[in-house]
Amino acid sequence: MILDLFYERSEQAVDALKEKYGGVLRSVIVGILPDKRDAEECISDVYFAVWNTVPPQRPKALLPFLCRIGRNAALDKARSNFAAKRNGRLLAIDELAEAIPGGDSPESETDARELARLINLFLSRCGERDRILFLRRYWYGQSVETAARSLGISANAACVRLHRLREKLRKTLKKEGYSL
Amino acid sequence: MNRNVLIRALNEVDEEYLLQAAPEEFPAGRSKALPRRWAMPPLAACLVLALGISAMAAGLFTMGLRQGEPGEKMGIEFTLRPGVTDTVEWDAKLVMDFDGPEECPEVLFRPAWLPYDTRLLNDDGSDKWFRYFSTENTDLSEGRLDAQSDDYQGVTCQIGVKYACQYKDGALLLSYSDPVKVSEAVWEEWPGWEIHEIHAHRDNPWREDHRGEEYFYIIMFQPEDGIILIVRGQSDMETLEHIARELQIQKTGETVRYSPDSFTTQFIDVGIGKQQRREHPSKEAPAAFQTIWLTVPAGPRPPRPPW
Repeated sequence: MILDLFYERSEQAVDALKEKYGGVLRSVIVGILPDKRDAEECISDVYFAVWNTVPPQRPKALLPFLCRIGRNAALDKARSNFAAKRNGRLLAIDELAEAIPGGDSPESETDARELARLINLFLSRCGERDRILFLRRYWYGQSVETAARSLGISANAACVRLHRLREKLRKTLKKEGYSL
Repeated sequence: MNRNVLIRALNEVDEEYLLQAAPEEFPAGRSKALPRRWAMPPLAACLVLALGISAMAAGLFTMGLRQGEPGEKMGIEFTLRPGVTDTVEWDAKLVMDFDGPEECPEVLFRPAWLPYDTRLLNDDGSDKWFRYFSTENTDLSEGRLDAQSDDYQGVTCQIGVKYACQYKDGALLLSYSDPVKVSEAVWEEWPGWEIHEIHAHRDNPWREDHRGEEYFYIIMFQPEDGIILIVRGQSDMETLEHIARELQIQKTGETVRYSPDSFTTQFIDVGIGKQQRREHPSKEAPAAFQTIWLTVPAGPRPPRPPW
């Protein structure tokens, strides 16, 4: 329905998108960009990007599509101004990257594709609750406290679980022969 | 790990998982909480009072639940008596993995509520506490497995207690009957407990007339002490949930310890533990199985499952 509004170039399209998925998009972006002005700017950019890409694109699922654009835009912004690092705040993505040993060798398309396959394999082997916790922290960028609260567990328990999940991911990568 | 490779890889995470993990603002998450039909869960109250737990600390144990991959098998090689070994393996249909310390406090439980008027008392009038409770008549010597006792008015229900430390090298399988087809699994939390409610269909291998039966499981996991209570039966989920919410437990003061050389379970039960996991049957020979002792409960041994 929302996609149809975009295809009709209706002005209500963005409002409908904001109303349905705005809260999730905001939580993704704020998780990566704690600075309110940065986050608002990024959110506006994301709606603009969706307006410009749909059509011609017609995503199968609108929420992941929207959040992917938002997540990439927020990471680009964080990377460019290093605001998060200057504030001494470790980004969730860095927390995960640091937990998985491996050189800083230049990225390659093959590496990313293989890693994506293995991450999906790892997620398929996780229990539902662990998978949700992992993705809320490392994909949706939620703080440990927020992710823990949303799952009804303590932040301390979430930290322990995330530590074990990072370790499990590392073992999966090693077992499957991914060069760490 | 190169950060950019990781970011790009994460962009390819399966959309189904992303939708499942979407924060609460998204209205169509797959997990749902059942409505709270009873006020203060007596189980939690009982924990606080009977066990002296003043606050729920961070969970020491973790539990994962997943559906087995096609072809995935688990098995054990067990020694019935010196020199006599046997191997049993099962399809890994629904797999519960546990992680945590190597010991758990032993507990007993008693159902404080049942849907019929049956007094669960000892001969001296004191409350009866259980490690395993069943409304089924399991008098195997007469071949009456699954026969209903008249006392329970046709309500099937079994409750058992297990411990996360028992499954350190393996998994707890939902493999009582073959096959178990899971049609719905719902996760929620009760204070201090993680709850998996599973709606399944099963074939009873011992009863030709019991095929495709509807079956309900409530797996209750307490991360603090690694206690697992399993409430299962053919009664509707609401009835089982009411029973589960009003279970009372108490510690015996004994400890259940993980040991790679021992294996104690009631053979007829929902879970067969401490299995050596095999990814795919063709990849590993049975020699990879761990040799463990199977302690058969007193009394006649139940018939061997036909698989």
